This record gives sequence, structure tokens and C-alpha cells, in this order.
Amino acid sequence: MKELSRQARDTLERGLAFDGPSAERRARVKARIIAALGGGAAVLATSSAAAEVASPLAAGAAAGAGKGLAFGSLLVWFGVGAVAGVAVSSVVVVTERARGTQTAETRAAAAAPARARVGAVSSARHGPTLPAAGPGESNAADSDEAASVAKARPAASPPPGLAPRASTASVASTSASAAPSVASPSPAPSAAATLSEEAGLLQRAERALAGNQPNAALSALAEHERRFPAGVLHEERQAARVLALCELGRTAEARALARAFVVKSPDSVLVPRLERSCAGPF
Amino acid sequence: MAAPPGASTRLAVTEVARVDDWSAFYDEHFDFVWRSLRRLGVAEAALDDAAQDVFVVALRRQGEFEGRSSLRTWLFGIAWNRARELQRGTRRRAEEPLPEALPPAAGLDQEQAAIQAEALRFVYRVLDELAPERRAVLVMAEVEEMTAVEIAEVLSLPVNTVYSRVRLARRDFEAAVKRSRAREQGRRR
Repeated sequence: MKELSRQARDTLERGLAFDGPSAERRARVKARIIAALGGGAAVLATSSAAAEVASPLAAGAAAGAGKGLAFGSLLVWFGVGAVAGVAVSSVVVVTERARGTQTAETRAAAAAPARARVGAVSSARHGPTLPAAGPGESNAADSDEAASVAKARPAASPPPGLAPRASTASVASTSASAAPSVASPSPAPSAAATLSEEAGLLQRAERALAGNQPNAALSALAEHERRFPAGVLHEERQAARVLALCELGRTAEARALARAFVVKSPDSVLVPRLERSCAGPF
Repeated sequence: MAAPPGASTRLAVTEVARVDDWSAFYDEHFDFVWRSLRRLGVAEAALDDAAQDVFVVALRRQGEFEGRSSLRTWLFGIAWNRARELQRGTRRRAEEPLPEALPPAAGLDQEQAAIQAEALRFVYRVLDELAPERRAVLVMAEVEEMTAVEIAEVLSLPVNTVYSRVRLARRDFEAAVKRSRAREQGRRR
């Protein structure tokens, strides 16, 4: 097959050499997924898929039917559903996994010589993602930790639950404790724990909002602000506060907050949600 | 926990996934997913949401991952589907903001950083000229270096068809590079 010209290849290589999300975005999206999957009412959900998943999840957790492996584990993390002492485990079709692994290996072996060499811009060559100047200290801590976690793992590790594990030691260690891992006393809280706490607070606010308890929402948001002033979910916090103020009929305050938000973050995905609130249109 | 009643010997309880696993999975693949969505033409303002969707879908469908493809190919397939859904809702964007460049690499002076940012904008301007599927094929073949078999899987196409699609994608990309360069030079004059 005809390869790309030098000019076209340069365009790709040079253009994409430093392409990627900032550390702040990485941390923020993670926190939002956690908040959405944790069974929150997703009042602020801008993503359809997340909203779609959020409520069945909560229902499933209540019934103690932790079917989804990773969903289940996220719930355990938050202690949602796990308080009932439900150890979330998963059943996997072993033969299918074995077959899949074998096929993958065979393919890899066979693909080496047969592989159509269709390009030279390997993503590895794109270099490390550049750290963003993160505004929040929690961001920096998270991305550092995240980076070291990622490095410690094999290059192509499958998602949780898919990995053909050699050891089942983790079964015993996790299934025994239904308590969320964040609750375990640890001298240095992991970045993941911090993130889940932050997401948990926002989730509490969202649930309160969904349950028509705007005052409870405001107090959760105040706690969020106190503990995570520059947290990855600070935009979500401000938006939730606007909605809570609307619920309370404090329209002037809601409008002032919303305007400040729009001035500061005009491109935020939350702007349309605020437009539709009592504070909008802008 | 014991296997559910009725489970045959084909079924076995294996492990309890831990959130650490999910967290590490996310950390390992987020940049790839986000970057792929951008390269597939998802608008800047929709990128974070789209990446979130891809991870949620991946979690939901993890049982469907059969190991036939690599994990990256599988995730790329989900990203492609999401990008297509988003394209259906919106028309082609002409006045979209240009891709936000990352903070310049450490050690680069201002001029070098500007060159880097311009190279990024340029490649996206070129990619924006391609039809969505051609663009996806080009990214898979030339950037991600996927095999024809992998590309076929993402697009649900016969492998034989993929070769001609790759050829067409390269041709379109070459032409778009030439056009864009000519335009830029015309503007500079």
C-alpha cells in the first residue's frame, strides 16, 4: 500500500506530538464518573449515558444485586449498598475468558509478520502528556499518584474484571470487608480516597437537591467548599449551589452566582443547565 | 460468595474487582480515549462529556469484551460510536473554536511553544476537512497503527474492504494537507 508522503507524515507527527488532555481534565472527568456511578441522582448530569446509568445503579444496589463488576466495586467504594453487608462479586465465564486470551495471543503472534505497516506515528512517540498547571492541590496530588499507579501496571492491562488473573488473593482481601476502602484508617489518604470523598459530598448535595431538600444540599456544598476549595468538582459545586438557591426562591443570589460562574467559565458544560434554571437566561 | 444456583462448571466465581482496579484502568486509558475522541472530530466543548460516556459504556459492557481485539481497539470502537452519535446531532462545524493546546513542554521558549501550538491547530484543521469515516480510518491506520483486522473490527467491515478505505483516507488526507498549506501560505502573503 502506498504510504503517506513526507509532508503529510510531518503534519501528523508534529501536530500530534503533544496532543492530549490536561491533568486537570483527567481528574475532573474521573470525579464526575465516580459521582455519577455512585448512585447520585445526577441532577447536574450533562452526559446522557451517565444519567441513564445512575438510577438503575442505585436501584440495583438497594436490591443488593451488584451485578456489574466495576459498578459494584464503585458502590462498595462509596459504601452505597455495601452497608447492607453485600459483598459484591462477579461471575465470569472462565472458558470464554480463556478463549479470548488465547485468541489474542495467537493473533498477536500471527499479526507480527502479517501486520500491514500502515503508519509510523506511534502513540508512544507522542511523548508524555504534559502536566497542566493545576489550580487545586488535590489535582496535583491526584495526578501524581495516578501517574505512579499507571506506571506500576502492565502496559496493556485489561479493565477490572477482565484480567485473567493468576492469583485470586484479592478475592479474600476484598470480599471479606464490605466496608468502603475510604473508611479504612490510613496515615496518608490516597488520591483515590480524596477524590471519592469529594465526589461523595457532591453526590450528597445532588441527592438532596433531587429530594427537594435544598437546605441540606447547601450544607453539603458548604462542606465541600470548606474541604475542597479548589477541588476538581468546584464547577459542579457552584452550579449545584445555584440550583439550590433557586429552589429556595433566593433568585437574586442565584443569579449573581450564576453570572459570576458564566463570566469565569463561559465554556463549561454546566452553563446550559444554569441557563434553564431560575438564574437564566444570561 | 458462592456461584449462583444453576451455574455450570463453565462458570466460576473469580474475583471481586476493587475500585483501585477501576481507578488504575481509568488512569491508564483516559488520555487515549480523550485524544481519540478529539481526533475523531468530537467538538472541544463536548470532549469531557464524551470521554465520560465512553468510560461509562465500557464499564457497562465490560462483559462483552471478548479479548478478540486489544483493549485499546475495543475502547476506540466505543469512542467511534460515541463520536458518530454526536455527529448525527450536529452539523459540520465551521466556526468551532480551535483545539486548545496543552501548556507548552517544559524547556520550550515562547517561540517554540507557539510553533508547537500552531502544528496542533494545523493538523486538526486538516483532519476537520475529512469525512468522518475517512478521518477515523486515517487515525486508526496512521496514528494508532492499528492492523487492518483491528480497523475492520471497529468499523464492522470486511478486512478486504479496509485496505481500500485506508487508501482513500490517505488520499483525502494528502489532498487536505496540500489545500490547507496553500491556504495558509496565501494568507501569509
